[in-house]
Amino acid sequence: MTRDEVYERLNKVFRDVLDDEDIELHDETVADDVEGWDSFEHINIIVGVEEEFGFKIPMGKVVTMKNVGEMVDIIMELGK
Amino acid sequence: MSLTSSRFFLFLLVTVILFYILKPVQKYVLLAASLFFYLAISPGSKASLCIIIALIGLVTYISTNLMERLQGKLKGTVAFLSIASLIVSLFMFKLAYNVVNAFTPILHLNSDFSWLQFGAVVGLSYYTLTAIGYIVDVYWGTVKASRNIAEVFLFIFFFPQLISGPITRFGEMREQFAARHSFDMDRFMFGVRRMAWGYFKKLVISERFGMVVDTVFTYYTDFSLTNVIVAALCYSVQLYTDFSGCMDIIMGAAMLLGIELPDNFNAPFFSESVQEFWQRWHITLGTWFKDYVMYPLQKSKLMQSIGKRAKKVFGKKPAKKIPFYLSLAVLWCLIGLWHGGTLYYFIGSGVLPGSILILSDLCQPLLAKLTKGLHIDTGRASWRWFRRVRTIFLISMCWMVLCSNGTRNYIDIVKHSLSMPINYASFNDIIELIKLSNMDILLMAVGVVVLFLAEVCAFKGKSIHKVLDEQNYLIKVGVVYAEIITIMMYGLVGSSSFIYFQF
Repeated sequence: MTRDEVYERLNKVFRDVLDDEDIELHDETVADDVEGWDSFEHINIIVGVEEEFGFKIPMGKVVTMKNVGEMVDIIMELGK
Repeated sequence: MSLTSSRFFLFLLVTVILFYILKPVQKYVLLAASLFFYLAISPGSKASLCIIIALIGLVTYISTNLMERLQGKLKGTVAFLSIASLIVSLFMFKLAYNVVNAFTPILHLNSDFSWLQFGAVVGLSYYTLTAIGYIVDVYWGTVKASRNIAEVFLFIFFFPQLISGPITRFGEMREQFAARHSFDMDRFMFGVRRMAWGYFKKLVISERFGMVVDTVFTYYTDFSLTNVIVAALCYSVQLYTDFSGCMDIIMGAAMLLGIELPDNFNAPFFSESVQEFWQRWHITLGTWFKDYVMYPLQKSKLMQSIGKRAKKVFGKKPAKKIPFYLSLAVLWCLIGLWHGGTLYYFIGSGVLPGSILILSDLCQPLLAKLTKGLHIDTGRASWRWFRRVRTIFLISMCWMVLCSNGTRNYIDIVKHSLSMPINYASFNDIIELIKLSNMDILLMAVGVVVLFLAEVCAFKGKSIHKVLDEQNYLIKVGVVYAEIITIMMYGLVGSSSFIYFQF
């Protein structure tokens, strides 16, 4: 799985969960940059990612990831 | 020994001198100072306190080191048992008596439960959360367990944060405790300035607003509803200057030792919604509950299955909210319980804020339609200020339960003030009843203006301490002297303790 492929599927998850087709994620994107990505939607996004990629993200990673770039790193690491 | 006593200053001075002289063993100096401080501030039996300290420290140290060597279910069992034992000790020593007392009238119990009063264990609610956070972090693998027992004890019982937080994470403190700190005059003066600002907030502002609150809520039969509402707003100022003042003293004291603690406040009264308020108020407690309770609960199998079932019945959007609201309800009940277990703190710090949060989220679409329908320009400053005032009002109404000092009192106060004429007590009557001098009123007004300016700086992302730090030497020294002189001349020392010390 390449980084671009991860981004394509991740954009799909974010757009679906947050109901916003204009979302475009980058490595530096943080919650404040995306309208609706608050502490409530954070877990919905994580669950959406888990369903999309087919694996569980450990809680330790959920609470420490700082931006989308780190989320992509975690997905690529778990998807190996 | 309290934070406003001369014994505390002497203790801090000796600790700072020893800390920089005994550089190779700084960690141990801090640990010895922390244990001495804890025993000195705690009332009651020192022997039982030593046993509590030893048990909490050892359970945390042993379980985290054991988890490093274990995998799978065994690792989870160790984490569960250690966390459960810490929660049981918190419940027994801090909450049990108040919780049982709250249920006694409901269940018509006549037994004497005074045996549940083990005496005040200062700061237990804070350092129990610190220890649990560390155990969970090791379990999740976000930090490595420390093999140095002194480091673990110091992390849990570090004296500035011991009694009122902030609740720290091992990952952010470990390197700071391990490093050897050299004396730095700029950092030292920064710490002194921060402490002076904290004492100013507590002794000059908070204590005076406390006089208004105490008088109105004690002699409420002499006051009308508007007076009670103003007093409830005054309590918000009192609580904020008391708690954030305490944090400034604590963070300043830690700064004297080269240790930087996380901020607990970020201009909370500039929040435009209650949700934003709780992200800016008591930040370390909020993030602790979010990371270790809210997220795991929301992500649990139970909540996910509730969400999936709700989706079939209500559709995608409403169904998403159900596990969120359920998790939020559990979270706020726990926060309410954490505030001592008394019924009125449970309601004022847990049930009411949680309910307002859920209701405001539920009403959000309706409010959006309303503002659109009324053609309100939501980008205007006046609209933002309206939202801020609304948030302060809602929060103050929650806290009114706290300053009523009991749920029964709260009901009596509301009932009585509703039956009084609006203009029952004039401004002059209130001033006379509270026994405020012209100087007190002037100091309260100046204090609020200075506080407002500091909050504006914080809201814009730069604390007042950093802004002052960039000024020239004369201004920096002048401000500190002005603060110290004001505190010495007009500070109400010895009037009361810090509100958050009781947890």
